[in-house]
Amino acid sequence: MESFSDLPEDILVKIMSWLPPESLFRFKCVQKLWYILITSLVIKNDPFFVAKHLRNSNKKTSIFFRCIKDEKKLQEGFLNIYKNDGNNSSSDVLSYAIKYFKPQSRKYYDSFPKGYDDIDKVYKVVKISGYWFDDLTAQVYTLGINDSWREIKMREGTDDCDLFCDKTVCCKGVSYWLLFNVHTFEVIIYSFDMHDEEFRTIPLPDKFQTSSRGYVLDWDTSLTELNESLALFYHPKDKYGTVSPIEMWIMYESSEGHKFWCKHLSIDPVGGIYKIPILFWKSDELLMMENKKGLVSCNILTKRVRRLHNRKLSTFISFGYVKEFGFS
Amino acid sequence: MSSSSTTTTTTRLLMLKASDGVTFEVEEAVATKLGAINNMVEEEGSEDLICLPNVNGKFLGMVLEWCKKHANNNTNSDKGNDEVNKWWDKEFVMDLDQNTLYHLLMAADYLSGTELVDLLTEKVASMIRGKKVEEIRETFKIKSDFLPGQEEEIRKKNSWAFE
Repeated sequence: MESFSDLPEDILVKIMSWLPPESLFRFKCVQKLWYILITSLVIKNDPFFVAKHLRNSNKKTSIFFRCIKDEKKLQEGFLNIYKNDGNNSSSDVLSYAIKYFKPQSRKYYDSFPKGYDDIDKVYKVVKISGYWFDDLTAQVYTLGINDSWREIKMREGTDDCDLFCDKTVCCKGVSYWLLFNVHTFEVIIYSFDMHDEEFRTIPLPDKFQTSSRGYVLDWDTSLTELNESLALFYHPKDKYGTVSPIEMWIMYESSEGHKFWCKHLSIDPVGGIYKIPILFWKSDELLMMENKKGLVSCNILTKRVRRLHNRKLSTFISFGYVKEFGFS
Repeated sequence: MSSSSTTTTTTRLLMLKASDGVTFEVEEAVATKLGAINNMVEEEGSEDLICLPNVNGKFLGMVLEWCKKHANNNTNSDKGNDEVNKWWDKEFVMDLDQNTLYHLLMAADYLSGTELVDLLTEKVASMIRGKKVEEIRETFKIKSDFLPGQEEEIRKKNSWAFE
């Protein structure tokens, strides 16, 4: 009687494309063939495997985070959220796992969102770095093509800018950042096209433009992604005083390429307490942070709030959206 | 059972002959959900009998049953069909044992039934996802061929995956 061991390698690869990273890494121990196969698929970031895995892994969301763990140590890791779909939607179970990295065992670019250049069929990673009074610099890494970062020229006028937060969002082959001017505190959205490798600036919703100065946003403002569109969480300025809802805006693009913003929803404070929205890990489930420590998932449609993490072990600093493979 | 009906006069019927001689009469629209058959129909044209020496009748029957369901569900073009297909796919793979899964996968792959291969590989993955290394070896009937110490080294490097 035949068994799975007789399956040809290409089918085995297809099976592996449905496995979560932890299973894949565990199965490297099964035998030499599996070790070689998984290593070549995963470590070398085989673009077709990664693309397929990306499509297949919609039941789990991996979110990269930085936090301060016990003894004030800076730690990085992945928060994996699983949704086990039962036969009816009421029986769905939410579970999560936090995996911390060993800092030395991780490739540097894993924590950056990868963008897919659909025309050249390659994955690229872009990072912008630079601190106060240092000029910002941008570098690109093309996975599997060259093993080094290439410097990319930024647009003129960014000399006085700094990163608003270190969260990058990547959707439909374009990466986005929030930059701010260190003198005027004006905020702009800066984008990078993975294919033509050009930087561009994108205006914020008209509503945010004050008459005297440009866009001045609250520090909890952040970019995110929803259904492959760029989205912005906007915190009205008086939130500490009057408790007004956080707004979420989505950028749409017309068929002529014209970009426009629409207000998508308002997020009321849950139980009168502000929770900072982080990102949508599923189309209707929003991950939110409470007091920099607790994590909750809030369903936008049913308003159901589920607590994910409330141990006082770590203080979360930042989150990045990592749908794709990223691992040690 | 033949489901002849007067409304399908425009639908061409194909005869598919499996390795053990069993034949199936299938509507062209159903059979061409399989990439391999679609190619044969397009390239070779008028041939109505297609011999498939690599697939046995039992599994060809199952593959065609899947094609038929998907072809039927796709003709009524409303949005609920995705849900119907998903539900039906779940039923289809629910109780498959390893031997059947193996032969179905080989048949679907040979016939280039991409969607069916996706469904079946996902099923296999769901069966092995949470398993221990030893259990995988048992399921796949394979033995470790690492040198002494090598396996421990890999385990140590990937310790997070074993928690």
